[in-house]
Amino acid sequence: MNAAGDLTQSFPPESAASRGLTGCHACGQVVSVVEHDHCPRCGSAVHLRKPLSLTRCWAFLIAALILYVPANLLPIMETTSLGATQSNTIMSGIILLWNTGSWDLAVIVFVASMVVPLGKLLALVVLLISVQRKPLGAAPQLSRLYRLVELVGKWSMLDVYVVALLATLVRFDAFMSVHAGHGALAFGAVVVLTMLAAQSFDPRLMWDALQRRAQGRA
Amino acid sequence: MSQDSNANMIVCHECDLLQHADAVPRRGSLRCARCDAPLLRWASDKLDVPVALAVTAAVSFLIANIFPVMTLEFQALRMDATMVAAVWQLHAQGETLVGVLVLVTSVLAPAALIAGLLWLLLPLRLGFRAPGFAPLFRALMAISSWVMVEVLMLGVVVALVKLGHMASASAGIGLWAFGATMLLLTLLSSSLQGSVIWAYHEAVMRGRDGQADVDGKVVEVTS
Repeated sequence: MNAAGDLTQSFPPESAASRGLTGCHACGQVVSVVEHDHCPRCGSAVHLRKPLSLTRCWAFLIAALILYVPANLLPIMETTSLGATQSNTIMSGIILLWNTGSWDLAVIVFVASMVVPLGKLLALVVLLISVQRKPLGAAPQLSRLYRLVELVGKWSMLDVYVVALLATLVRFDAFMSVHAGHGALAFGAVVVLTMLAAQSFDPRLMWDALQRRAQGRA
Repeated sequence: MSQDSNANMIVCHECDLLQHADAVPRRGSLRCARCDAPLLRWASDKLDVPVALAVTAAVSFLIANIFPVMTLEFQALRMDATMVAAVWQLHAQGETLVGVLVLVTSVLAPAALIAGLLWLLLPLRLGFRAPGFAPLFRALMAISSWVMVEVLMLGVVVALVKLGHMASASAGIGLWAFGATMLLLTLLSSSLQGSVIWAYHEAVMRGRDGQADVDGKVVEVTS
């Protein structure tokens, strides 16, 4: 019992961790980490908190931030028509949609390709600062923000699919053809990296920090 | 602390609150008392519906990948796009990594999820345990967040509109099959609960140890 005490005294009393328990992240089984290092039911490695959560989250996040620049500056698609080549970045593609009368789709693509990735990057920074420095919101709100980040993440892949389909269909040799650009690669990488960042982040750390602060004040 | 004392407990995966797992209301769900995270959804304790949905999803996903999702006609020329062709075209244009991303998220991950679920559920329903049960279960949990069939659907709509201005673009059989797969996967995830899978698993293992359930059928499993 001493080992369990040492292991768990740093956690707030309401948490499962303070009793050396955790919910298996794969199957949900309540597992004692004092007795097991793998879930006895499904065999997943069990930890009180995701290992290196904040470090990994920052690493993925910074990589995503760096790639966000080429993702928006490089063309994701090049259209060659009768010898003339037109390059489109993500933003110019949205403007093109808007100008050709499809304002509704322009809004959808704008949300999926601009608002979601940028919002995700910002939200993760807010969450990380809330754990490491001071909370930038009440815990239930931050929890909701985290859930939202996990929910919307994959919708940014929209533009990558559009480019893939256009490049496959529009191949009329000299008359007109569409080529994927390096921007699509950078953009796809941003989507994957922000998803990995969100998966690395352990939302339980927000509640740990909150309660530790509340105890310090009491 | 023995495993049994934790039997009726549940831990919130988002705020780590240890709480009693109340019975999930029929067609409802259970949320965390502190942070409101969804903890458990109601699901039937039978596997019939999930198995049927998984079989149907497998058929529709096969169709989705054989037939073109989109067709473009321009004067006498006609271009078809299946997802595999799109991946190949990206590779041919030197964007192999983008192709890999499309391949994984729209073809491999959904295929692995559907095939893996069938591998787990069909034998369980028939009263035995598939080889590699636990590792496959863990792998499927990890794969599921990379299945992006619904995003692809929206992508096809955007592509149809973009091409509509210059040529006659039309949706193909593959697109409808992708739509059906998307719907089936959504129904599957709402009709299937991990705890039910493990309850079946436990019953099957008990049956194999000769303590119960000798007629090979697994019935009356409480989750």
